Amino acid sequence: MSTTTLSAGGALLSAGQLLGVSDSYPALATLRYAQDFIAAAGITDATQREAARTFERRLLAAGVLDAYSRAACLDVAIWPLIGGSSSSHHVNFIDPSRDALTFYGSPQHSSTGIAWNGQQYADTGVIPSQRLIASDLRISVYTRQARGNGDTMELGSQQGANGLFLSSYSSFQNLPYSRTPGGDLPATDPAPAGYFATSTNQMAAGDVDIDTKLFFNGGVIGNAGSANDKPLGLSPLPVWLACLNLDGSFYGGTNRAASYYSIGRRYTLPQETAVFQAVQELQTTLNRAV
Amino acid sequence: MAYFWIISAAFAAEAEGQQEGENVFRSVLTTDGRHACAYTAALEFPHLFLGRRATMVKLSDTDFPAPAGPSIVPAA
Repeated sequence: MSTTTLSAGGALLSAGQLLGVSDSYPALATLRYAQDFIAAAGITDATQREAARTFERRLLAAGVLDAYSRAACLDVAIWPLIGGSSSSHHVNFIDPSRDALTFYGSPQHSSTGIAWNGQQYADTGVIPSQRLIASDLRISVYTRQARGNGDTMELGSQQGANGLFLSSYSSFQNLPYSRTPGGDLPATDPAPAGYFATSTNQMAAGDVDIDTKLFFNGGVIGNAGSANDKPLGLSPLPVWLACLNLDGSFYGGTNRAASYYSIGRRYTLPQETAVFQAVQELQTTLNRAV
Repeated sequence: MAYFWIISAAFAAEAEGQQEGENVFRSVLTTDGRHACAYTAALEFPHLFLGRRATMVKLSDTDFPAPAGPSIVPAA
């Protein structure tokens, strides 16, 4: 009994090739957030590159990043401030092709992030009324120094009564403070340097109440239910970092150093914990954790 | 306390808003009417400082006006 083998140019052909189909299903292309960020930010340091890759894995595991769609990520933008220069710090980790920061007043860039002097800021270009949903938003900052005195804004945008901001210190509360479309929220305790976030959550489908939470290092330090609700909307002005964009003007500039900012949609409580751990791991790897 | 350059009003007016890449020049008025910009501005905009007189000083928050604009204190 004889066997016939088909070949093309001397190479054996597989069954799939004979049938004109591929041997396996085509794989969907997964996004490479860290790789794209590293390329756009021009990061060459091996430790910083690996820190970005590890951070990507942690956010994918937490369900904050989507493997296939930038638009499906919970965050609109993350600025991890890796690389030590304005050209690396202005790059958005979620999508390096948009929402790059513009720095006003020459803040000091270093491997530990950005040191602000109280008179400087960065324009994110992210307009809350266009990019965010009042009942499903979140902003965060990793501050590296203890709070100052006076109104100290870490990031925010407000026009008229419609505001969204995160303040590490409020002169009228003597506490960290946040404002969202869900209302105003002082923390229950003063907090030192670390990872602050505030988010909103619609209590139930069809419910007009919006719950606001204030987080420090992954834990809740302020929680406003319906009693604190105000019918606030979202500002049509871009969010500025290191101050509040108040009706288009600079307000409450911070003189603290920061090493991480984000703007996007609300996290679940487990995601808050997981992302705090990821952010803290990033800062520890880069030798700038507090 | 942070280091600032004290620059002339003419220098401030000419430089204000000039952009190099992702950096925009910004100076602010102190409470006693001096124009101040961050010391790092000379690193990001060296061409603006060429042939200009600038004096380095150390300033604190109290050297700048308190936040202007409507109060952010929430309505009751």
